[in-house]
Amino acid sequence: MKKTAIVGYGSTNFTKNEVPVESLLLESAKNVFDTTRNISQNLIDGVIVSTNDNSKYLGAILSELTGIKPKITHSVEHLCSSGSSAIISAYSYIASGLVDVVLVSGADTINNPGQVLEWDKTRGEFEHPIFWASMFTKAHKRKFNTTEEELAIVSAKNHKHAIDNPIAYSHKPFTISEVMNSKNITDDLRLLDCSHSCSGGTSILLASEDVASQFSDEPIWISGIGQKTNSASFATNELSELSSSITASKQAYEMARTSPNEINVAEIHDAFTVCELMAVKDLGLSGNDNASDYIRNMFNTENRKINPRGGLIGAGHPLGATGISQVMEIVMQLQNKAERRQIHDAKKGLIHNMSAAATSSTVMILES
Amino acid sequence: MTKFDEELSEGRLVISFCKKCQKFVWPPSSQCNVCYNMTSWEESSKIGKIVEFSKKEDCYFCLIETNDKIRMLGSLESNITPNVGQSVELYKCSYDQKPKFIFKLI
Repeated sequence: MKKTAIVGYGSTNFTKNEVPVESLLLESAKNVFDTTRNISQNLIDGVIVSTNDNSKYLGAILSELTGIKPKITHSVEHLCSSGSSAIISAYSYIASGLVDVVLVSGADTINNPGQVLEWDKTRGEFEHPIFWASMFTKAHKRKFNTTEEELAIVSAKNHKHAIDNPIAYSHKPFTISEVMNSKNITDDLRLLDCSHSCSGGTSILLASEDVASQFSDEPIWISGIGQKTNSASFATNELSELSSSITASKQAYEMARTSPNEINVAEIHDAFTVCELMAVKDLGLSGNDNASDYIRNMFNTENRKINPRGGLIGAGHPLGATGISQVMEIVMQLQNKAERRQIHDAKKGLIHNMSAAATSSTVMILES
Repeated sequence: MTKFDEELSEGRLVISFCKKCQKFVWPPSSQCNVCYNMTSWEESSKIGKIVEFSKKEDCYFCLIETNDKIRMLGSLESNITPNVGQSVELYKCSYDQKPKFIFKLI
């Protein structure tokens, strides 16, 4: 099995503007071409698109728009974790030897249809994600005595991090008090506890070990992948833990022959504040600490280890681009190119991307 | 509309049931997800317990597990704060583009 590296990346800004998905895909792909050495259309033999958009044939469309005639191209849709799923597809094609270089591009528009899973009749009339998030939050409060302040710290921290992320859709800081006093969505959820859909596109270039050095002196290797789907419907899910994330992380740690205490930086799927508290515990990142205490300590010491780009809450959540944007951030961190967001001497990074109330999860581990 | 949707729109909770595995198949499906045999449709228990709940404006919404181990999100008509584990009854259901389940405390 061939080793696979990430050797290029590029992104659009994340905005609240309504932009055609084809434009977002093209702009982010162009940014990869602008910043990756020796790249040319004829060297790319795979183009994978990640999106929840209803547009058809986007792999071929992006290929034509970028002048690539790939051996393999198609789209991947897996709700919020479409991006990491697309990367795993590209990884698999390269690892198998089928292709050597794959462009993975993800994009969605602010009003994309991936925010509601109409098939899921277990949600009844409460189909919007705020309702499962309220269930998770209430259950977390009940089990761990989690306070409104502890939840608000997640949002205040991630909004603060996003200030130094030039592509984030929000650069506004919020105090803990402002988060706690933001609009009530439900009794257990404030407006600033939530990530928000936005328009954005992110692309990365993957290459096999045979050709990676052509494109970068600092290839970042995908050393661990874990993925688990427990169901599609919410109501059959557990409320007390991110079961699919636990399974996926165990696979990823095992494949990478590493453990949570060796992870220097992590992108966590904070669709809602409670998700970050659940994830740092369930992925083993908070160790023996209470998750709320762990995140509070990060906030108080200005430690950016968790969600340095601002997470989904601070950076915005263009569904099909999110997983790829998370990977791009970890690549920049491991290349020591994250500027003001930089974690000192980061060698190993983790990406956690999940869908539909953690009914499915992806965990990836990258190494320099 | 599926049989589930049609029955729900008439106010009946009818769930797919696998006679071979002797289990309800939920979410509703024409085939069993264990043995893949065709399912039949059986009226299901309307009695259950609150797994978790929250409130939006004046309306409680809750995750319910029925006596048939079927879980669903529904609204709860109650003037008092409910408790986890409290027994409820599905007293109204309907279907208009999406299912609607309304419970009350018993």
